[in-house]
Amino acid sequence: MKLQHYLGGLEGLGPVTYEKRVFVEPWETRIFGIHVAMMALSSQLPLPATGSPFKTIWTWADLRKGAESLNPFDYFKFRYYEKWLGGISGYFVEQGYVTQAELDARTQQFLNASPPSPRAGADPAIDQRINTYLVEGDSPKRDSAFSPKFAKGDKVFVKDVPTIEHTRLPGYLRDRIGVVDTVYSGNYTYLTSTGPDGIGEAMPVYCVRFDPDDLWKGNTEKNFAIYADLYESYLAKPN
Amino acid sequence: MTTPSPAFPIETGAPGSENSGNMRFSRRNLLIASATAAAAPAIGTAALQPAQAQTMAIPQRFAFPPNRETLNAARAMALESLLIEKGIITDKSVDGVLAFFETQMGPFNGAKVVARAWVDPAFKQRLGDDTPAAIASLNLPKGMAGAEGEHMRAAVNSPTLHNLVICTLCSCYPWPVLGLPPYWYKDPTFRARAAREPRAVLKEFGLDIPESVEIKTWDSSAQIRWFVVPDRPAGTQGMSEADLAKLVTAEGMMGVAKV
Repeated sequence: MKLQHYLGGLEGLGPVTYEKRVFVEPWETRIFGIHVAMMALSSQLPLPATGSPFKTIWTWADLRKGAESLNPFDYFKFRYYEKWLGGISGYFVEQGYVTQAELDARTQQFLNASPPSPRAGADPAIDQRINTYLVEGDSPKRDSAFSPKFAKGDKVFVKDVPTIEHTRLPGYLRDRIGVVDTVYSGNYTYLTSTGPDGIGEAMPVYCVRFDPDDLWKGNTEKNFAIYADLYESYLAKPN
Repeated sequence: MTTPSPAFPIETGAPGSENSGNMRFSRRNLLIASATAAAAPAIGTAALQPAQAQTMAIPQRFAFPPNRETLNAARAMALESLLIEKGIITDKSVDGVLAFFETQMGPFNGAKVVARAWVDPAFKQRLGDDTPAAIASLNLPKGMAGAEGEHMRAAVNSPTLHNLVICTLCSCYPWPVLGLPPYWYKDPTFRARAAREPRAVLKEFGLDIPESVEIKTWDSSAQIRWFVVPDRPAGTQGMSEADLAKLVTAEGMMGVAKV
């Protein structure tokens, strides 16, 4: 079990932080921009090729896997974009686009306040592709023959699937019963296969309503319902 | 020997003050305990190694380097610089992305959607029933079904219903209409607590939702990116749609504030 999958309902955390800024340190803007560029250049997108040597897949699933694979204490220790910085830098090193030594040396140069000016002149098609990705997106909706097993109003049991590294099933819903509120039209693929966790292939998705008192007996609030969007493979008919 | 500073305060009184005397783990008691351990006869177990060795073995799990943000900044700039140098991205890529979120995708779009819903009940109904079609019927910038907005749903507030959007697994957010998620939305404390005690959380945000009003919390865990259509504020009769849009905030469209 990974604590990161079980955030919903966790107690003892103290007050929320009402910080409205998106980026709380200026450097965070740079790693965000790099991430969007990687998403746009990711090789599974049906967009025109560019001169960028980036030829691998980078999706939200890769970013999320990184955060979900952290030591849970590190997950809470590091700020949101610190986790991005670690995960994205690690990916570029693992995939061989840059070496750790290059990264360390360049970091040291910036710490010494003598940054080199990077060579400009990369392919402008790269920035065109980034813009196209932002405008067109990457819909996971697929035409496939699966018809939904459940209908609006059906009770559904949420399985406790064997998640290895990544899931879209919140921990607090596992082994609980909810009621289908919406059957989404069409089938939806996930960005990557999560293996025995069960998503990846296009399948129906439902919005399922849960009674919070079934989730946290006697330890929640009144006149309140919680809804989650769940892939069909996470659901079963209750016994 | 040096005593490592604790990662979180374990004293209530000032260091060495008498106020800390009745705390079980006052610094004074810790020092006495360390001295006792150091003086204890060695029996050859790791547990009774000299005090310094013991403290050295405890990982500094929650310590940050003193130059935490300088180092983060240098690492981020180093990565960007190397990626530009290798032609993976251009020297305009990151700034281009940031500019896109300044001008094309942001809460200014969502505000127009909400203002239209306030002045046009048929549009409001359609927005709740078929969000993408309703948004596509407005004259908004290209990209309203773009990245992180491919499948959006609007949760419409009423005097008896208050909606709240969360993402307990990560930070799913409807980029085309709201732009990028603010810090509070991504903070693990908000994500954890809003699932179980939304009314208590909203109160901390300064929003008092009485128990007579139902709360629906929407946990974004698959393809849908949710946003809230807040109620039109009182005393805005006669205002133009454009002026109404100026009242709408990102917080209102995530359900943590009234407009």
